[in-house]
Amino acid sequence: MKKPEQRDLFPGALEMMILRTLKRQPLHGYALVQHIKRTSNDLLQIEEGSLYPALQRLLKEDLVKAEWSISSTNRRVRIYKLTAAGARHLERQVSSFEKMLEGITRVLARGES
Amino acid sequence: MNRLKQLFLRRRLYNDLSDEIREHLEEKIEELVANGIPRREATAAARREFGNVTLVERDSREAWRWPSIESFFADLRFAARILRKSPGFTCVVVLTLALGIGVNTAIFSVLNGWLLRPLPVPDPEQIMILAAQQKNDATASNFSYPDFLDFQKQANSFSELFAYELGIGGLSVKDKANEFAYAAVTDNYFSALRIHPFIGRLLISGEGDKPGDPLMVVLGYSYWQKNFAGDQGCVGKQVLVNGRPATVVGVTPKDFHGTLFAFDLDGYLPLGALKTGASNTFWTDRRERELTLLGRFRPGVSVAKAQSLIDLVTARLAVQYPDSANGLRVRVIREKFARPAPFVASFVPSIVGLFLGLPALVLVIACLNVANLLLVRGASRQREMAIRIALGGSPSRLIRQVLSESLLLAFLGGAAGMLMGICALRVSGSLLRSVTSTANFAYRLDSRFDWRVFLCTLTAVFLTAVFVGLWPAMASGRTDPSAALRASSPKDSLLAGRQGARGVFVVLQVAGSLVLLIIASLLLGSLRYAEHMNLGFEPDGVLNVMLDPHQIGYDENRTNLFYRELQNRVRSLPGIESASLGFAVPLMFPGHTAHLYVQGHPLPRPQQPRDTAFNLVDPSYFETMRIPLLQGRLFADADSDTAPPVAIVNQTLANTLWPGENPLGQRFSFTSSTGPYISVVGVARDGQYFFLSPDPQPYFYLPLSQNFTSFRSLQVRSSLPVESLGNTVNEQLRAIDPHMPVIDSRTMRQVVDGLGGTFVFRLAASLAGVLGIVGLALALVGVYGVVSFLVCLRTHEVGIRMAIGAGRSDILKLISGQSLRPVLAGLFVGIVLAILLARAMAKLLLGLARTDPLTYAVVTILLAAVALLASYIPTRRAMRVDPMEALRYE
Repeated sequence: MKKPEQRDLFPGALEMMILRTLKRQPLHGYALVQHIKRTSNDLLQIEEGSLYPALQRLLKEDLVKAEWSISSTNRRVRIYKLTAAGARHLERQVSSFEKMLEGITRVLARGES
Repeated sequence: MNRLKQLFLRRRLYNDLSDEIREHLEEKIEELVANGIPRREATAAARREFGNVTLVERDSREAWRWPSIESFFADLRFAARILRKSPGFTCVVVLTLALGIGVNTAIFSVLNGWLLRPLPVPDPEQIMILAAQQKNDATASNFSYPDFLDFQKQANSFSELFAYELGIGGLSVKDKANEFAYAAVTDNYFSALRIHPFIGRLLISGEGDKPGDPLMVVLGYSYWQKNFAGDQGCVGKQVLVNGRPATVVGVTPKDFHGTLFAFDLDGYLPLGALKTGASNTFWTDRRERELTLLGRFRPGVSVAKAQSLIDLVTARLAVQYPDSANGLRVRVIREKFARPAPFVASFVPSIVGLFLGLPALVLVIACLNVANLLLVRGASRQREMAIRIALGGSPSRLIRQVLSESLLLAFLGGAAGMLMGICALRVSGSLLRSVTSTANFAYRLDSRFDWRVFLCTLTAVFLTAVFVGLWPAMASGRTDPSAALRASSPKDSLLAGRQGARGVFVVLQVAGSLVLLIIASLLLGSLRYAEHMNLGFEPDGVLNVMLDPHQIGYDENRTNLFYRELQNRVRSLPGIESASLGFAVPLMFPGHTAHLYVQGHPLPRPQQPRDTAFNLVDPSYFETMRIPLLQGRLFADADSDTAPPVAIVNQTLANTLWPGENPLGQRFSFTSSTGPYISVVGVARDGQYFFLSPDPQPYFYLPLSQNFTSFRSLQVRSSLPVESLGNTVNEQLRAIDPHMPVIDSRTMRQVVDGLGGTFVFRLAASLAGVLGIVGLALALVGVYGVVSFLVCLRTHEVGIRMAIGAGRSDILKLISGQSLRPVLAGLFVGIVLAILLARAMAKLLLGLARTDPLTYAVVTILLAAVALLASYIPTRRAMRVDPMEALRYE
């Protein structure tokens, strides 16, 4: 059974976006979701909560690691950081995603003409 | 992250997650509040945007789960709950499985102690036994010292041969004498076995290998504990062994009990130092075959390779010594398979097959029963399964659920079975001990539990779980929810399918129990044959007492006087019919063997075995043992050591040496082809000598008066209860010499029932009998259960049939037609299997038992009748169905 919040994304898309964001800088969950929302110009309608299962999966696979610390706003936050394995995984995912996208684009372009 | 660590750190992971989500929401709320939204609305908005917190937490936690293991444990917990809810069903299943597994555990641990547990020495697989086998003789015999030396010299490039001989004597410390069962060993015995002393040292090369060398004693661990109280200072102590001064040099390790299977030797003496005396022909006479030969073969030398190498040596020796090596074949046998004696090696496959096969069959029948019960239960749980499938449970998950139930049942059954096995072993162990123990050798069959037994039981448990659970599990996985839920009762949906499976169960159960019963009755027939076999003597009313005055230093003259006085004293006791002396005891202690040369026939007869066994007896032996004389005369007092030597032969030997001639007056020699010759004065009836065998064995008797031996057995025949004679005879012995040790004392009936007699047959028959009864009971319950269920399913249908006019006989035909077909098929399969199995274990079946059609017919009819009864009871229930009741029931 697909979970409703994933309906509009293909499997792995959320993880890929998280990894990409974390590659720029380590962030905590709230900041992460705000960043994704902002960067996508709110085009991606994701529930904020759906981030957490994805983060837990990434933690389990050792693609990211997490540490509790105190933020600049003096709040207790859990900062996520990309690991070396995470960086490699991201590269692979992005390249395969680009291939897939290229394929889809071509088919769509052909369909229009 | 390490998976196990995850499993244990999970509580913290989950707490982190909850904290994190709480912080997230608070941050959001604060941001919204900072943007001027009232706190209440901000909280609602934050929650809205976040989504369902509980669901998110659950999904996040799921990322950490180890799904297969966790659902397995969940399944087990669920299964345990289900089983607790129906204690009756659980008890029946666990008991049934316990019976099957218990029988297997008990029998396997005996087999393990017998055949699988290696000698406690380094690289035990290199140790092999050499058994001399004569032409025309299936029994294996020992080696003479010159033979041993030849083999050792010739085979030293690929093996180190060593030898021992058993002896019973006395060991005295400070005038306190104890009986001492020892092995007289060659000087390399311990070094070839590569064992190290517990304390002191063991015998070393060149020590005590010559006659007259000082006598050393190595003590066995238990003897040392018992008689020296484990005193470390006993090394170097002077003791008397058989009256000769000897020095204790060491103690063997705790777990080493000697190379004689199932016995715990008291100690070890150097062979050389022991054999003294000018007249001792042990060193030179190839006919004194007293040594058991073992070898440690080079690493990598397989049994087959060792056999071919030894064959070469045998052939070379046959050329060198054409006289004594003629027709000799030496078999190389792995030490394990020569327990308790090399001649069993040919029986081992049948015995192992029997011991493993029959209990396995009982387990199969038990499993079929339980599988059937589970199938029936699965049928009544069909609705539950249908609902679970309809709610989205995957079929594979349902199958796993049912399998984990059967796994749990199998484990409970296995645990209970292991307990049952241990109890059964306790009981049978003490029975076995009472039959096999002799007065002097400490009996020690080690059937303890070890990892092999545990592994065997565990394997049985897992196979059981899969075997028992798979079929019902597949059935519940296939449940069609719409059909099952639509059906007005769960029974209706079952009518179509599953009958096939149950039919197969009945076929297999009936077949299995028929095989068990046929084998049991064949073995019973074989036992009856063995019990009624012509022994050639009358064992009832005879006591047998073994003595050896040489052990306490008697010389030949004094020994003769001692025996004469003993015989006279015993004969004058009230109620004694006769008392005689002999050397060998039939079916217990076969005596010596010798190669025979017939006067006037330079070549051995074609039928003649290489060596023939003989006994040394006094004139009254034949009367006491009631061995009928067919021709000629008995020994007489006139056959003294100065009179011409005489012999009495048995029928088989007479026919072998002098076919078609009158044996009386014929002469033969057992020394050389040129004499001195012995005249045959009588022919005695054939009998049993070594162990029960349907084939006639050649044998002869020589008078004790012309052939001295210190070791003799006294036979006493009395009309009084023979068990009470032991004390009376002992009193007389003490009166003559209070120090005279009794080597063994038992009635001839005990001997006949013992290891050389009917014991093995009785053991096999009672084993198969018990298993047969257990299998029969299980199969009957199975047949009854299946037919009952069938009747229960068809009650409705029967009601309709009766309502529209079917009579009781029609119903009987209907039900029994369906229930008896698998029974008949089972009987057929069972007969075929039993014939095949009986052929495989032909060696254990004596007489005509193997092909006895009567046994097959009687057992088959019996089982068919009982199965008919088991199915008739529920069928009658169907015939009594009241149509109104049956139709109203739905």
